[in-house]
Amino acid sequence: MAGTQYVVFSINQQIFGIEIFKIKEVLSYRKITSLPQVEKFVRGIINLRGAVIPVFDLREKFNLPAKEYTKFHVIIVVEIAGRIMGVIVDEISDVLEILPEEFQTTGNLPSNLRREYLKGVGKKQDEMIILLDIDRLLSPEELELVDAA
Amino acid sequence: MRNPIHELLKNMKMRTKILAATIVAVSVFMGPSLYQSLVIHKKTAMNQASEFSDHMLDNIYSAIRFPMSVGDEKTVKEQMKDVKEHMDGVQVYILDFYHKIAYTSEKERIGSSIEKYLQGSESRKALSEALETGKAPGISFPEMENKDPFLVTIKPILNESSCHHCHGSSRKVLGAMVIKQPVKKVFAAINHTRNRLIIYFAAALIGLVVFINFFFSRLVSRRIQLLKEQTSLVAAGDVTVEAIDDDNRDSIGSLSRNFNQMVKGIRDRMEYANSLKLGIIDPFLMVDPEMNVTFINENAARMSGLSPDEAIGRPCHEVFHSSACDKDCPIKKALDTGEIAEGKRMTLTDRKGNEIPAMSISSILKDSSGKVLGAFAIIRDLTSEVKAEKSLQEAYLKEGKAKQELEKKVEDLSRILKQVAKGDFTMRGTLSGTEDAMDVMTKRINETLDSIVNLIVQVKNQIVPVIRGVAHISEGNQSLSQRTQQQASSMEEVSATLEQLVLNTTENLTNTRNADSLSKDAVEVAQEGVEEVEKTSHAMVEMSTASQKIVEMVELINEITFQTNLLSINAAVEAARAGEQGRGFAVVATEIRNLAKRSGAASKDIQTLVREIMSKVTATGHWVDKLKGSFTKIVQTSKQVSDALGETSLGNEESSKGIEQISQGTQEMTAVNEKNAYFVEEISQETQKLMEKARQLHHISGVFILGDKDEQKEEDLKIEKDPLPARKNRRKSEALSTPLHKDLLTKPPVDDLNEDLLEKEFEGGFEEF
Repeated sequence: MAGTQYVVFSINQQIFGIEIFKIKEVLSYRKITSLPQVEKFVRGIINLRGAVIPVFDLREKFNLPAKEYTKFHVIIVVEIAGRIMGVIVDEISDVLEILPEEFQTTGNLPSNLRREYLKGVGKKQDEMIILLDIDRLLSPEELELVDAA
Repeated sequence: MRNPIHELLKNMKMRTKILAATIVAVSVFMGPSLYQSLVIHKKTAMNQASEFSDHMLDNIYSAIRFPMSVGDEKTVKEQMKDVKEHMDGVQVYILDFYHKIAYTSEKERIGSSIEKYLQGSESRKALSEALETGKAPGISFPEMENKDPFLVTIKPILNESSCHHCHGSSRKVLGAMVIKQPVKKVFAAINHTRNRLIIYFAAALIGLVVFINFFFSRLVSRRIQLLKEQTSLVAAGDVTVEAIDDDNRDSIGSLSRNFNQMVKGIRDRMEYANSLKLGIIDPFLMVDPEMNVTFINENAARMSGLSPDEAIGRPCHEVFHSSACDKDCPIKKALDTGEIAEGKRMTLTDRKGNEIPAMSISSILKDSSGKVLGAFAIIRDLTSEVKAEKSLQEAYLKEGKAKQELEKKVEDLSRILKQVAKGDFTMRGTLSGTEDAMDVMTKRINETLDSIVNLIVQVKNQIVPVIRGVAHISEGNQSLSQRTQQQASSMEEVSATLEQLVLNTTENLTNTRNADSLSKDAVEVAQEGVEEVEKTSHAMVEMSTASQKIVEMVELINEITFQTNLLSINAAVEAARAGEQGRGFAVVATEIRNLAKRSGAASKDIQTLVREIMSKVTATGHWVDKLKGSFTKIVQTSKQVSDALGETSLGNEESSKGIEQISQGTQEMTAVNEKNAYFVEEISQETQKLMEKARQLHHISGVFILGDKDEQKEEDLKIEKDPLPARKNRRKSEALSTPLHKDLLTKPPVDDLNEDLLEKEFEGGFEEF
């Protein structure tokens, strides 16, 4: 056994995975209240059952071309370094269990991704899933910005 | 009183009148003012004298008052003496109320009554009043004493308190004081002034009169004088006066101009009358009421044999010796009756004893008041008229003679023409050789008769060729008859062929009609097809709408699938958190996720399918539209076909009719042909008759008697008779013409004269034969 469950989603046809335990909830896209004077990748805040959660867009973070939001976009509520926040992704596809033999670290990664927030790549039925280390996704400066929001 | 003045004024000159009027007017207006000024002057001088007397009186009174109040008589007397000495001529009297003089400057008059020295009754009366009432009269009184004028002034002396001690107080008036002042010098001054005024006035009067007269003379009387002189000349009959040159705009100026205008008018009228008088070219003379000649023009003078100057002034009968002078003188008649005497014919005898036939018109001359001034006469010389009359009579006689001769000639010609009418052309008109119109006419008639004779000879010559020509016609007619028969048989053939053609055409027409009805059916079917296509098109639209709805439904399913997926992931997350306890739940979550996946795939399939359907519907829609277009075209084309067929049908009917008409025409032609055959027969018969007539004509022309030419004619006939048998032989082979020639030969010409025409026309002619 010893496999780890990942929630798999796609941004700009690239498939990413986040460890299931890091995920609090998955929401359909809803209206985001934008905030003034914050970094562009921070979209704003949403109200989740009384709690105010900052939301950012991974497209921005990964320097991918911006895309208009539809009702089929998904906000994944995650816990990053003890903070609850929402991440906007294009599409959520599956919950997969990556076995250790399917997991591998690799040096050949897309240029827009930094190594520090990558865990590795999961190979599943000829599909390559980029596994993100959510805790390292944001730099301390970015975290401060999110806190400020 | 008025009449003498009027007479006087009437006989006065204008200038004198104006002078008198000026003097009177100036005197009337200046006299009273002169008198008034004299009166005023005198009054002023007298007033001054009177005032002076009053002053003197007051002075003297005040001088004597004190001495008198104290009874100092001596002083009073001294005063009086002073007055006498120093005041030249002034007399002072102081009197009591009995008019007795108490003191005076004239010592010798003391004690006498004042009445003696007051001459005027007015002054005496004034004195008595003053003594009674104590009031001064207020005026002075002029009086005369020893021819010297004095001014008397009276003042009563009142009984004042200072007098009471002598005179007591019972009387109001104690006496009076009278001063007589000499006014001779004053009067002299007044007279002097008056005289000078009169002299000045007279001088002014004379000056004014002279002045006015001068101007009047300049402005009026001289011009009027000139006008008078000129008008006198005109009145005397001299209208050659010069125009007055007066350009003033006053009434005399316009009078002068009017005068000029008038004179010019008179001159114009006279000139007009003169030009009328001189413009008469006929002999013309004017006489006074005593019948003395006052005017005679050149032509009349020439007629009379005197010069105009010799004639003027003589009595009329001495100038013209006329048959009318003793009685019926037209001038005398005009003078007696005052009417125009015209058209009087007379004979004038001139100085040489020649008689001149003449005619005269006379009328009187009157002035504006109707007074007879004389008469005038216009004489016309009738010599040429009388001559013309004579020649006309001669001509008339000549004409009568000529007419008789002409009638004779006409009778001759008439006789000849009568003979001609009977057919005898041997006689000719005789020519007189005068070359007049009648001679020319006779010549023409002779020529005409000659040409007629020639013509008849020619006719006779021409008849034989006519007979020959008729024979030719007869021959031609025969061949025409044959051809007509041939034509008739070919016409029958044509007719048969045409009948067949009519049958065929009728069949063709029926077929066309069938085709027409079939094409109409086709149109109907095509129309139905269009309707069906339209229904289909409608159904396609409905299908498209339904597909759209399906797409909407699929969208909804997609959404649900998406939510379900989210739910399953959430469930998986929760199950992972729950660990071992959540394992079962995780399975459920996976199942749900699979379900969502499947339904998502299914919905995607549906979506694809529906999109395909929709694109196909759209494509089909295009095809249906095209189909619709095609059907519409079919309908149109079918209609056109139907119309064309209709037209063809009509055309067929027309051609059928046409053929029928042709057939009819052919039948008619056949009938005509038959008639032609008949006509040919007729012509043949008529030709025979014509031949006969020609022959008869030949005989008839022999009737005319043509003199020497006629003999030649008979020879011609003999010559003609000879060639005929030869011709007869030639024509024997041609059956038609043979009988005609036989007739011509066998029957002698005169035997055929039993014709009506000949009997009527030439009955007379035969008798002569």
